[in-house]
Amino acid sequence: MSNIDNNLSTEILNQLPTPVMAVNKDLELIFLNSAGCGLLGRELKELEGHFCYDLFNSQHCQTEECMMKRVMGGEEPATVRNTVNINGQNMPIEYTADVLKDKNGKIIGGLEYIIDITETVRQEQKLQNQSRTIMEISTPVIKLWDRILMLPVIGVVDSFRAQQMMDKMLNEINKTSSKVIILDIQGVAAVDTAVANHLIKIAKATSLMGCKCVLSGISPAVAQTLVQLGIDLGSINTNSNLQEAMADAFSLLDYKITN
Amino acid sequence: MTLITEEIHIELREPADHMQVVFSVKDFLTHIGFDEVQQSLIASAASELSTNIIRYAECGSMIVRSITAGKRIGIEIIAIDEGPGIRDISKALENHYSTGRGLGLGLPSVKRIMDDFEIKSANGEGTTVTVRKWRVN
Amino acid sequence: MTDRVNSTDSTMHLVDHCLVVPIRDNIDEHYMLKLQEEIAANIKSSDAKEVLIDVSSMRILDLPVFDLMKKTAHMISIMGSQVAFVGFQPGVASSLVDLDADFGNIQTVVTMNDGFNLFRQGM
Repeated sequence: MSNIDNNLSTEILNQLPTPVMAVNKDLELIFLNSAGCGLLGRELKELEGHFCYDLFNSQHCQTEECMMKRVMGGEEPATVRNTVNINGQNMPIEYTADVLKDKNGKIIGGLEYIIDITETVRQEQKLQNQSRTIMEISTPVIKLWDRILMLPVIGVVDSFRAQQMMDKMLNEINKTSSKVIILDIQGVAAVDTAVANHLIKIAKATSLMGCKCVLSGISPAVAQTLVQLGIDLGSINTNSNLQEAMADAFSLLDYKITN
Repeated sequence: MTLITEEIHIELREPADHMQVVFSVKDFLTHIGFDEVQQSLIASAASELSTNIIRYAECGSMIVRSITAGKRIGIEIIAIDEGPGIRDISKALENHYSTGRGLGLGLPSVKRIMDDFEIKSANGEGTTVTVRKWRVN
Repeated sequence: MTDRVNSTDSTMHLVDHCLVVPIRDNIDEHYMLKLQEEIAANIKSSDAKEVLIDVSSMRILDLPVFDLMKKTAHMISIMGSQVAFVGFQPGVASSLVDLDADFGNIQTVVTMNDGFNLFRQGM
């Protein structure tokens, strides 16, 4: 290879917008392109000879998961996910490792390139959360008994969901002429003042329609949280479990259970 | 692949991101080992801070990390936004004060629940709220 | 019902000693005031001790009209009769709550039957 070709190759590597590195068999750094140096915030001169695991501090480093060690040990190259820790910041990545050979085909070290997948991970998380919520939104209002409805509330209740929930409940009350609706909040992820506000609003609306709203599933933890938050649920009946809530509903309707 | 991290960073850019805060914080709290009551309280506080960012600043971020001090272990939550800022912090910390709809900013509640509470905000300069709570068990 | 006072197009009528007052959709304060007068006059002439205000036809209800409705209920109580609202629709309930309306202590029921039963119990 002529000198000119060498410089062009290095130039290409340095202009690649993603970190590329090469290490020797002892995992000491022999090359890191500009993107890689930029990521570490240091010059190649100061980095040469350092162990790659000291520089990147990834989850896989110095464990059996290290792809670099694995390809040098004979495994097929592969792309895997990992997390690197640079200057205290974690960054999710995908990295690919392969062996580095000399002109005679002898393995003299390893090559690696990494791709920042922060945005990808973020989108995946969002999708996961959204499907979790979609499942929960499709929980229907249940007719527990004559004129008694129940709605289990699960997951995170934001204003969008709260509005949806309220519309669904009010329409069901209208359709079934129900006099009591039990809102079971055992599955609510976090009860804060916004959530409490939604519940109070819902209870107001149902009671205007002549239907009393009863809350059930208030665990000791949630009860303490409501107190700490300074929330007064006012005239809303509250119960710790569904059984009590049903008994409550029956007495409100003057139903009696006969054995 | 389960990543057990000691710090998570959540971007809040749209209402749907609020969900991630709540779910992530709850997972984190279980991992640190807080009891049920503390989990409920801290999750509420985190939810409160997240709601504020989305409601008043439209976007921001939250950092949740585990902290230690000697033998104590706890959680630290930092809520940062570049929103309009709070004009009168002392008023915002009064109970039942609200400039928006609802029962108030929830900051008095957050302050009551958490062990440590720091807030930095000024009109037009965004808000940073840092809170900490230590495990008692 | 003898000597029924009829200043609006209201179809209020007696059902088993109870004055049932259906309110039509899309009314304004002016109409509500006239209705209020008509209710008062008819309670007097029929000596009805129970009044059931049927709002099931109302799809839109704004705060000023709602306010007058509350005042009407109060007036009926002062005249010595029991009063309840029946049939608030989901859309109306939802918007009144969104507007943060004060419901006062008005009595509401889901069905006409519920209303009659309520009156029978003497509230």
